[in-house]
Amino acid sequence: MSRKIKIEIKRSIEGKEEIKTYVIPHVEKMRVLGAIRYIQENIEGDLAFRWNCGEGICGSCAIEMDGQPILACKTEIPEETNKITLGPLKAFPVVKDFVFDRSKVDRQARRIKPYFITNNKEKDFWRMHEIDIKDSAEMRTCIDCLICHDSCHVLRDTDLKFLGPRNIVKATSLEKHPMNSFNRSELLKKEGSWNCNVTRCCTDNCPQGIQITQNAIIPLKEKDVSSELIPIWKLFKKKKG
Amino acid sequence: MEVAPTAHYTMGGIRVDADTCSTKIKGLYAAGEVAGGVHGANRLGGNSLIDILVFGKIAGKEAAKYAKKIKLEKINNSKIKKEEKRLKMPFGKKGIRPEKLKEELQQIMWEDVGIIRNEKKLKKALKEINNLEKELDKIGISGNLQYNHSWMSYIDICNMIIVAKLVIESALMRKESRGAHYRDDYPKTNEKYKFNIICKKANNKLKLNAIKVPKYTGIAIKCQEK
Repeated sequence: MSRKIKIEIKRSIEGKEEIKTYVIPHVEKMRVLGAIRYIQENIEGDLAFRWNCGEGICGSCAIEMDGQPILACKTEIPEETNKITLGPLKAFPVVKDFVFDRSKVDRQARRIKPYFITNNKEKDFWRMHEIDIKDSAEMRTCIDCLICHDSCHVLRDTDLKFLGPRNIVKATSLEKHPMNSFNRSELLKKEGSWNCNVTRCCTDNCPQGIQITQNAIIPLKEKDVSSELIPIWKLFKKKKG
Repeated sequence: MEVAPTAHYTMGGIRVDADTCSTKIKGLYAAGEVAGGVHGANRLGGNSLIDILVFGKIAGKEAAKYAKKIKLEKINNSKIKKEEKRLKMPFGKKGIRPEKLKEELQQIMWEDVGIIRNEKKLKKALKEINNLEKELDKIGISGNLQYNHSWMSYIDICNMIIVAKLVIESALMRKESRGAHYRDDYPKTNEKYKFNIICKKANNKLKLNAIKVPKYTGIAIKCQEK
């Protein structure tokens, strides 16, 4: 005996928006991805939705449920609910239904040189301490879902030029690598890495549990301050060698 | 947690040249699971990753070499229009949903062309798939061309039926058990059937040829000695 639940979806086809409600049978521990796939297979064949692994590791299925950004494959529909509201991420322009246009984030990423640059030409292997690689390794668990961009109200509510948490995480994973030899501080400042106001909504919503504000944005700001604005620290650095 | 056997990998695939990963269509290269012939009758665990690294690199390099030396050709406009008409056929019509046909095909293949095969089940599956093919014209879908999942299912089901027929015809031709292909009416391996089955399309019909397995030239042993 399965009960029915209502799924309210904010559709958008060629610019025209409408809200449609679908009634589907509920199974135990049903996830949001299962509900959307049921609608796609049986009711509305042209519902546009991106998903891939179904395990929470590819980052393709980021949507908003009842106003909160989630990964559709990892989130269960709460047991007592009778109706949920789904829609695309509001931080980006919509192409169709749940599919959004992320080209602006990718353009910004290209401008900060998002690839590994090193002077170390040792052929066999690099000697690194595990504690030195820890920070860069945490940033590499990012699955590129862009939920942090949807949570950031500097990006959503203001016109300030801000690089965004995802690109700052990417830059940190390269800057904090012990074999990195290229300093991206100038590029990051030019793209607006300083406009974070430490509300930490990105850290709260990150599905991989990355401490974005504490371990990526604030250390980059501290590095900028210590290397440029207060030149007396530069003298101390040179003396230590 | 459920533990069950399932279809996990396909050993067969597009026929490619071993040195260049090129197919018979000029400019089309194939590597990985989609290309056939690398693993024989059954694949060893872990070898799929090595397969994609080695043959992916070869295919990429050869494709780049080919692309540098040719110029773009003009395609016949009527061919483009014909293919466009075939792809857009079900739009705006009321009819069967393509997802329903996909589910029926999956059910037939799982029940009758699965882990344990025999002649009776294979012939039954072939008959049912031929009936399914006649329903393709009755498919109808709605919506526009952007990110249309029903449309993708329609294109999939047309190709899936061709591949399913090839799998069944090849399984019927191979009257033995070898590797992952197990038949309970011929449970032993038979040296007489040590050949590759190559499938071609000739005059809109499917033709199967038996070609001897290429001879082992011993190159792998030379690499080990180094």
